[in-house]
Amino acid sequence: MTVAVKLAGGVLTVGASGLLGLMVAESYRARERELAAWITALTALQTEISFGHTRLGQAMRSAGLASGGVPARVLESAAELLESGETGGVGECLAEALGARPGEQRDEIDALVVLGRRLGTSDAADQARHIGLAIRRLEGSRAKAEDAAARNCRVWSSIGFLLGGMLTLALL
Amino acid sequence: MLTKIRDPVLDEICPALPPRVREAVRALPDSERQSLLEIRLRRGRPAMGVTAEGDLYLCCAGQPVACTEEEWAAAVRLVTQCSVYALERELSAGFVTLPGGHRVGLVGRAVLDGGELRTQSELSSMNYRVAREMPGVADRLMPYVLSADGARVLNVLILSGPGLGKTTLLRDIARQLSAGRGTGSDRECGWGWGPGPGSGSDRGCGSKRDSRSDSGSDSTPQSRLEPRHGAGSNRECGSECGVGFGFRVGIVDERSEIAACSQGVPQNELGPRADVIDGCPKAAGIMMMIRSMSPDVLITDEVGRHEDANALEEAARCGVAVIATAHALDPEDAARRPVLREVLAQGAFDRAVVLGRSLGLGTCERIVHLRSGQDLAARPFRLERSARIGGM
Repeated sequence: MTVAVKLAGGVLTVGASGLLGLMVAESYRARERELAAWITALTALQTEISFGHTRLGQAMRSAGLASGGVPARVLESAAELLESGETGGVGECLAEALGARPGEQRDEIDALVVLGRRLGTSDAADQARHIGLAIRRLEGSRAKAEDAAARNCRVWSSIGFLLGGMLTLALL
Repeated sequence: MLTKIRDPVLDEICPALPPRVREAVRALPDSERQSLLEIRLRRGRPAMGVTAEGDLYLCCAGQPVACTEEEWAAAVRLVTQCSVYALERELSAGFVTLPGGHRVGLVGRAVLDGGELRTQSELSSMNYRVAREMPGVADRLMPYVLSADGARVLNVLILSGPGLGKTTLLRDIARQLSAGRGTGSDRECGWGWGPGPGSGSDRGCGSKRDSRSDSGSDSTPQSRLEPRHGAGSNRECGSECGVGFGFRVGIVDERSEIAACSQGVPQNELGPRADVIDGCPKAAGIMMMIRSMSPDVLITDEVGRHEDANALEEAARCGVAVIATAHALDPEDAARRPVLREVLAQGAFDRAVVLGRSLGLGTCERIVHLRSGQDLAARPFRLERSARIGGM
């Protein structure tokens, strides 16, 4: 009976610890995917603005639909704020939609808020340049995220189980 | 059930005003707000409302509202919907059209490209012009827009200075032609704008009875050209029998003022037979409309460029009637402008309707038969909205 309980406890410890490791590994992959989605969204926004001359609210929605995921939710929310006319400029609308706090350092938030200050204020060629700059910045972040994911995902996937096993052995 | 009455100022213009000006407009008494023709904002200077009676300062907490830099930026954002890139053509032309067909005139610093105006930046003044639908305002003019038998639309050029109601009149003419008033259906439906009792022969030729020379008692054109109300109404004849009688109206709405299309749907009432090409340069739009929709009549606003003149000539060759507006005080003034002189010399228009304000805003000063130069209206008369809105 005691052995069975110990065995069950050990399995639970290894499982929980392994799951935590997998979650950390997944967070690296998710960040990489999110940055890729933002790049897709901004590329779609660039197309809508440069070629479609679509109004910004609608352009944001279309860009969100093209990318899906987090950017779709953020851009939809920013478009709503923008069209309500109650929340200042595009930068403020994007910051509010992102839930950004002052001083927050995440690359995509910083890039989007900086871009937001310029969005819609100049001609299509200038807008394309600004969006292009933001895309390049996000591509740099994505390259870093890819590198981090390649380094850390495999480590975290196994380290969780390993630590769980060690802890189980120590407790036994 | 109570129906909300559309207030163009509250519903369509206020959302595009900066907050304090919006509050000031909302705080105006209904009568003053409804008489607003324009709202003028100037950077750092007091906002003003323009009415037919004069200008009024827009006040908030007892003080005239002068836009701060932040408010001015908000106004620009609201008018351009944060989409300056989508409005380059409009900005270079000096106006943006709001939902509802209200035009906002904008001036600032010109940005030139190769000597040509590309766009504007650093905007300094904005003029929100309130566009109001005035159903029935063209009632008294319809006899002059149609041939004597009511089966053909004549080529009509509406002339006036800015802000005297050209577009409002044009919109109602489009609506009435599309809805079927004054069409060949009159004969069947007994409701239309054919010659009234005793009106005599073709008014289009400037018959003496209609001319200024015959301006004796009871000689106003409208007195003789009242719509006929016969056995049934056009509505009964057109919609209930399932047979419509009206003109196919092609509207080339370069500035989105006539139809005020939103997502492809005209926001202004234009009747069942109106096709709208929205935001397209007139010359290209006229040709596209003729090729694609084969209209009976083309409606377009503010003819003024050489390519417009060529397109109108082409329309005339295709047998399509044209009703257009232009900035000029009268046909003589129009003839001094090169493009209009060209158009008039081509005989592209049969009649000119001159709007003014001698009897107040919306006065038809003259109706001129352009080939003979005769005045068809005995005296100026007011164009007023009608309680009875005809059409299907």
